[in-house]
Amino acid sequence: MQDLSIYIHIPFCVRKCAYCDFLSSPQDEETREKYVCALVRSIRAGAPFCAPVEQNQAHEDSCSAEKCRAEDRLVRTIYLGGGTASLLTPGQILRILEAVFDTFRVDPDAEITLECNPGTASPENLLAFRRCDVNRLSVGVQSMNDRELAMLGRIHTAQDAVRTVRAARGAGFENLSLDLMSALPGQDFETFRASLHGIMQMEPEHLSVYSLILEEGTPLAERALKGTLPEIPGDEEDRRMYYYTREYLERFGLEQYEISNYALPGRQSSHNVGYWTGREYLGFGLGAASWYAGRRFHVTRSLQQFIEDPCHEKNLEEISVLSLREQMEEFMFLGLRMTQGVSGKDFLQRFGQEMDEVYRDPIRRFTDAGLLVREEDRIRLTFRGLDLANTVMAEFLL
Amino acid sequence: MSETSGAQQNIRNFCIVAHIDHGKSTLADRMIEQTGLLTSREMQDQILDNMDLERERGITIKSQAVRLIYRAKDGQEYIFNLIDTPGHVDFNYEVSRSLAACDGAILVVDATQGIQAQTLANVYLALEHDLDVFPVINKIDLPSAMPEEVKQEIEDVIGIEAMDAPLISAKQGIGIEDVLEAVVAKLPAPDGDPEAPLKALIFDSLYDSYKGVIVFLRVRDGRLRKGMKVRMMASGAEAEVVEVGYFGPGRFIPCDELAAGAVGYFTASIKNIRDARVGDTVTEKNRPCTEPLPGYKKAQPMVYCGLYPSDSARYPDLKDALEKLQLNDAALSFEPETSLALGFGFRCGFLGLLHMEVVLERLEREYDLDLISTAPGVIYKIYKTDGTMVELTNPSNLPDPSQIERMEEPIVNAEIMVTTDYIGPIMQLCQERRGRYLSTDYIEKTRAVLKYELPLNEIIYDFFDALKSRSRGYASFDYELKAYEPSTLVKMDILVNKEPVDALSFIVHADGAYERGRKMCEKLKDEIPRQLFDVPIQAAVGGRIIARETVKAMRKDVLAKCYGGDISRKKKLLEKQKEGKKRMQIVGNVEIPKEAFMNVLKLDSGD
Repeated sequence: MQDLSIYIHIPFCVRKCAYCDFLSSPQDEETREKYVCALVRSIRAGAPFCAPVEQNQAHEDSCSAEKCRAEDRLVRTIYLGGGTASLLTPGQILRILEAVFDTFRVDPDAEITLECNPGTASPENLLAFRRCDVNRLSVGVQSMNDRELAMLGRIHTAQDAVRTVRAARGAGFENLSLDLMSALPGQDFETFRASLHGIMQMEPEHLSVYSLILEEGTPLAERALKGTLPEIPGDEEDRRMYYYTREYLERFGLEQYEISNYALPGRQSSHNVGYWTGREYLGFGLGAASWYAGRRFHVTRSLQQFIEDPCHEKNLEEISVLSLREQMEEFMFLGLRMTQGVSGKDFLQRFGQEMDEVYRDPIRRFTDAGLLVREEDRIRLTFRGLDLANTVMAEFLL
Repeated sequence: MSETSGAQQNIRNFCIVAHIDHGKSTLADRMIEQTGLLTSREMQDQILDNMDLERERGITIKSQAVRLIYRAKDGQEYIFNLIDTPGHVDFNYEVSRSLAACDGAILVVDATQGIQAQTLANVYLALEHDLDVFPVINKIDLPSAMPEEVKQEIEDVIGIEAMDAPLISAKQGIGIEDVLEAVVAKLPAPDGDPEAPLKALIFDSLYDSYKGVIVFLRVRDGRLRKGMKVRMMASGAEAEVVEVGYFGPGRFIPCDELAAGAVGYFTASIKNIRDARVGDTVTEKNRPCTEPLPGYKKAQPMVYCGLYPSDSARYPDLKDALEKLQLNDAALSFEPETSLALGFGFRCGFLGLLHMEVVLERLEREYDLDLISTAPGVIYKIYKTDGTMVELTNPSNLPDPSQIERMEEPIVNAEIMVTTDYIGPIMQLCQERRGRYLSTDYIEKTRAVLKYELPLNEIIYDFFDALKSRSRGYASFDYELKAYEPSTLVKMDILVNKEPVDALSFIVHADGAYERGRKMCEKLKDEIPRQLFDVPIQAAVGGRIIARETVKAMRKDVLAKCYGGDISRKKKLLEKQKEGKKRMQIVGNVEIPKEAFMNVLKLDSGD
């Protein structure tokens, strides 16, 4: 039985952050409830994947209930992301998860993650979330410096984060992931280090550390264009923060397993590892992306259209069938994000071709340049390779 | 037909000469408009400048001719053949061949600026061709116009009658009638005997894929008729005339014959442009004239550079384009060469930097070519120890120093006209460029002509820019080749990651080598993107490193996040990155963007 992941998008937040270009906006309670109803309907209908499969297999028997419900797939992870997923009430979260359990075959040990922002979840709610079988929380701490948090447009303080994490522990969450940002405007190595030390005092099992990306159209990018933003650390400083993170987290037993992710052994995000290893995933809710039965597609980004008719097949957009070549490319550039790299055996099994033949040239070139290293049948990026991952990955496009 | 054979005394063949931007093309437009060839609504600005490039840059590159019919105040009808000439120093050769077709010239002088360097150069050129010249003062509508002072200046400096010069504004259409009348009154009718054997000068040509070569000519003696068998006296080529005609604005208008004094064209199914070279004399095969007309000095290329297609597959296209351009740009020369860094290309010769830029732009625009050009250089004369001399146009071909007895470089006589406030800075500049001071002539209290001897290779490298910036735009400049002189020259190599990049080598005077080497390294450092490793950029003379910069290794090139919803978008980014690499040239293991070669050598000439 094939593994499957499920992603559920909650496009709501209290206030848009200054750096955020995700599909999310503040909406009133009524809209949120309408959205949850639509979302639950789309999950129960087995949408979004039903339509594309049906289109493709028109000559076979029409989309049977079994097929729609992915009877041959076992759901290993469920991820409720956003936006701020914790903005929903425990009741709403419960209805969503029940829809998933009723519709799909879900592994009893499935990793079920809820994204949660400090200041949006009371201890009572956290307890209730835990009771709905959510077993992993991902908390967007971002910085332990209140000035930086304000600059980012976050609605919480560092102290709020500490309180939320304490409440989560109290509610019985044993698998906590925290997010931290680096290379922030006005940040220097020392202030970053203070944040990193601060966040580790909360003893997370998992930590994601991202260099800030200024996305076009966000308030932060606008300010940068106008020149009213404090200086953003250069590449040199950015790398210093990156190297220090890797070295510091090692002391806590958190190992780097991906470009921006660190975890205690066994606490890696199974959901995210799925993305990098080509595991199928179905996305429900506004804008959510899927990779299923050889196709990529996503749900409409129009809130109104989705709420009006959540199961309509026109909600599925940009459906594209990936060729074998494209699948190879993705296998490589996604797989190389992880420190374990990619396995030649897996490649052969998936594509019936030798990785070393298809990618003879780039493998040799980057191995010689010290950006890739070979270990038995695997190749992976070296530390230097992680710094220059794009340079390497671009050459794995055929 | 009275129009074609028109009374010879009612023909005027003339051109307009001026310093750049003094309004020559605008005046030509107004004259065309006023003589009723076109209504102003039909007329696009600056009709004579019919290449896109000319119109955009406001300069006239190719000579163009147009026939106007003017009914003068004396009641008679006159045929004006107006031949437009380029105003820039680089195009003296073009000017010279246009002048050969004229009997007179209108000198346009800007009422706000007075005489400038190219005013003088062009007037002297006209006088050398025995043309009658009368001045007009343009831009009198501007508040800063000083027509009386300018008139005086013309009399004092050039020594031609200027007190009754028409005061005009070509832009506003003021005084155009006066100019037309002055053409009738002050310029001579052509002489020449219509009954004598045919004798006509080819002053330009262009290639038409249907008609073959279209020959532009000025008939001195005799008549040229359809069906006549003609011979080109220098090339010896013979042909039967298929069509004769004159120049309407932007088109050719066929007629029966062109008689002595006329300016027009003919076609004769001539397939090869070399058979009807500019400067050659056309005569009748069966009744030839005894002596050809004196041709005029063929333009010698003064500046060379290598041109390469950035996509090597387009080498044949480049070759084809250069051949076509050469058809109506006789001053352009080229021969094949190869470069380790850039592949197959051509070493091309130009009259000067502006000419080079114009050719480059035309190749890119009209022939849709993406080009890389190497450092422009002049022709050096290399005297070898074995007694032979080679003319060096490509620095890569410099013989081993042990075989060189001495090297000579071209020196020009330069005249710089400048307001007295800036004499100091300009003299300083000329000193820095190894100039030899000759004299300062004051043409009035506030303006002077500085005369210098300057090595040509000091001018082709950002001299115009420096001149403009140090005089706040008030200096104008003209030069002509004086002679070759011995000089201490060295070849500078630029090394990227320890490998010499032949496309960037150049010859430089030993004294300036360090400075130029340092500048090249600095510029190149900014153009080469960071690589996986540190890349040294060095300037070397004879194996000795004299300057160095380092492009530090790339520190970071990574996308922090890539989850389920990001994959398609991130993949597009990677594809773009890979696509970008295709525009790189690999030199010594280093990827150099093709634009870098151009940008390092970027020359912004004064105009």
